[in-house]
Amino acid sequence: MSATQRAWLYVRRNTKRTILLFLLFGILMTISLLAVALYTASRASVSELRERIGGYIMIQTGQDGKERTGDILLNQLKQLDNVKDWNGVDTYYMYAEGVKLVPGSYSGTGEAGECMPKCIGCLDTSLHERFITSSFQMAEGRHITPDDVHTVILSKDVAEKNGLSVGDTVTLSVVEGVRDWLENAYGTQVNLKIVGIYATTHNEPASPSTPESELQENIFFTDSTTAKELFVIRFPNRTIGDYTYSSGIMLFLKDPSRMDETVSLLKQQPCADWDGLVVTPNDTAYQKAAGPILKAATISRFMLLTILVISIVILALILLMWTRERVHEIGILISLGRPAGDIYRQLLLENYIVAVPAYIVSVLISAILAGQLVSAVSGASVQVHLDAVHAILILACSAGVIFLAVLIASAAILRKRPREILIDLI
Amino acid sequence: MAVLTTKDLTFYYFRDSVIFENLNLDFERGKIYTILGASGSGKTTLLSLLGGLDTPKGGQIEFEGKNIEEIGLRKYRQSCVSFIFQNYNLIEYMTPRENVQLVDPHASDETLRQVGLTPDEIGRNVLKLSGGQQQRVAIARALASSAPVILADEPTGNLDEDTAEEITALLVEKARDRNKCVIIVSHSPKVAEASDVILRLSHRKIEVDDGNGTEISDGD
Repeated sequence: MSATQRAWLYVRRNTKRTILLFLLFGILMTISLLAVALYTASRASVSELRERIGGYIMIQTGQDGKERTGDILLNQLKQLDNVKDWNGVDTYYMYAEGVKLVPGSYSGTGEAGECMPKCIGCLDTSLHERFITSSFQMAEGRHITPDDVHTVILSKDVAEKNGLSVGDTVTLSVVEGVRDWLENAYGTQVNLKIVGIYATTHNEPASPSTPESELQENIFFTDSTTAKELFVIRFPNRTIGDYTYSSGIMLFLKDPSRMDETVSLLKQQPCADWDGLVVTPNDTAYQKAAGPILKAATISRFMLLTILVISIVILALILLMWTRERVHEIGILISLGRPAGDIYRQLLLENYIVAVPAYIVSVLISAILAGQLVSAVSGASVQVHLDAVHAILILACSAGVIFLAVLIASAAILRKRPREILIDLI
Repeated sequence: MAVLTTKDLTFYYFRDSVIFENLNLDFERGKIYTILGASGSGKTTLLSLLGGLDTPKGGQIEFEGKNIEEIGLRKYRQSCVSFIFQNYNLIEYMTPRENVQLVDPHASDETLRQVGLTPDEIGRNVLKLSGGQQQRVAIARALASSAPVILADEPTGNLDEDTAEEITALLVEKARDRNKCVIIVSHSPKVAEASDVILRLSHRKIEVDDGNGTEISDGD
């Protein structure tokens, strides 16, 4: 009778042991599959996030205001190695005619400020930190790109309050009392087409000292061309070439781990007087966004390692216990001249016969549970699914763990001399 | 010609307490041998050595003229000898039929029927059989093996007197039918009576009584 036939008989006729082993394998494999799925998803997300957000270097005009952060500088710096993307951001304030904002504690700028949103001129709104960190998400429409002219994105709250939607127009105008506008600019109007509407994802607490224009719902994102046109109106003795991204230029890196190296390279560029500029490496957006995902990755890695160790220990102990109970049977097989390899093969097959259906059930359960586990563990928005590679990986690992556990459990007996094993038989 | 031969067989656990020394014995096909002796005289040790379960400290055992260590002890146990134990030593999750198929995968139920098992008993789990029935299965397993030598250690030790007598008669009869050499370790005079040769182990030596007089093998 072959080892396979004996193994099959043993599994069929020891139903309690078989059920117990099936449950043990099933639980360990399910946990392993879920841990691998979560770990892989977390790693993929971190990697994707690193690629998407990376880190960025903010370059702003220094306190003396001599060195400017305009398009000339930006065009030079975007050629640098490791620079993947760039954005120029300008902040200014305009009167939004007939638009009701989300009310704040006070307007902050007098009479006209009641309808004065904070305007952020952007080359690409998708690269603005608010969107990168997902504190704002597009609810409708699209982002503003460098080619856009006279476009605006405003909040869902303001849009609903004013019955505005994508395709409508809002008018920004220069009125008396708005900061440093020159008198000759009063009455200037710019019509902007709404191309997108954003939704805020987190409540941003406003203190009594926060003016209405600074509330997150009252931000208007405009295209950079509009901001430049308004710059020329604002400073009639300047040309568009003098335009400065007042909130800075952002250079996004392909590999944030090379942040220091890129900053050094940047400061070696002769296109600017770097003493007059403030260079701030920033990967907080990445850290903020990646934090929960990294936490999930760490938890799942810890889970994986723990499960692997516990699996081997539990399996080895249980199999050792069960194998010791079978000294008698092993002795009989040895007395019949069965080789140790044949006996080991039987013990191994007994476990594999149970492990295979347990594995199939585990894959089915894990596939169902995979998507639900992530929020329970980390709260991170990670897309978790079980793919074939993970499933095969766990199958191979399980086979290896069982192989080792059976080897450890049976070695103690099979290494003995036949007479030692058979001492109670004779 | 002897199927099994011991040549100057010596065994001890410690050098100062030798179990037996320079034993020279011949075992032939078709004959029944009974090894008698007091507890601790080395009967079981001798059986272990003859079964290839242990190795001698001196001398050698030959199967059909070849040293069993040269044959390989595992191969020797697989094809040259079969065992019958006092506590039956059947594999508990198997039926009598499956226990017999351990030694001969193609074995029919004939051998099991010959030792007195019914068709129902043949397909039943061995733990659901009586002691006598289990020993019949063990005998059938030894008979089904192609090995020409059967080594039996107190095969009737756990059985009542009537069953013991029945089992002994069955073993002797079927072994003779198959021209097997049977070596039995026993305390039972009844078993000794049924055998062709009686071997008495005591004080490192063995007396061989084959009905034609007693011969002593002690190496001197």
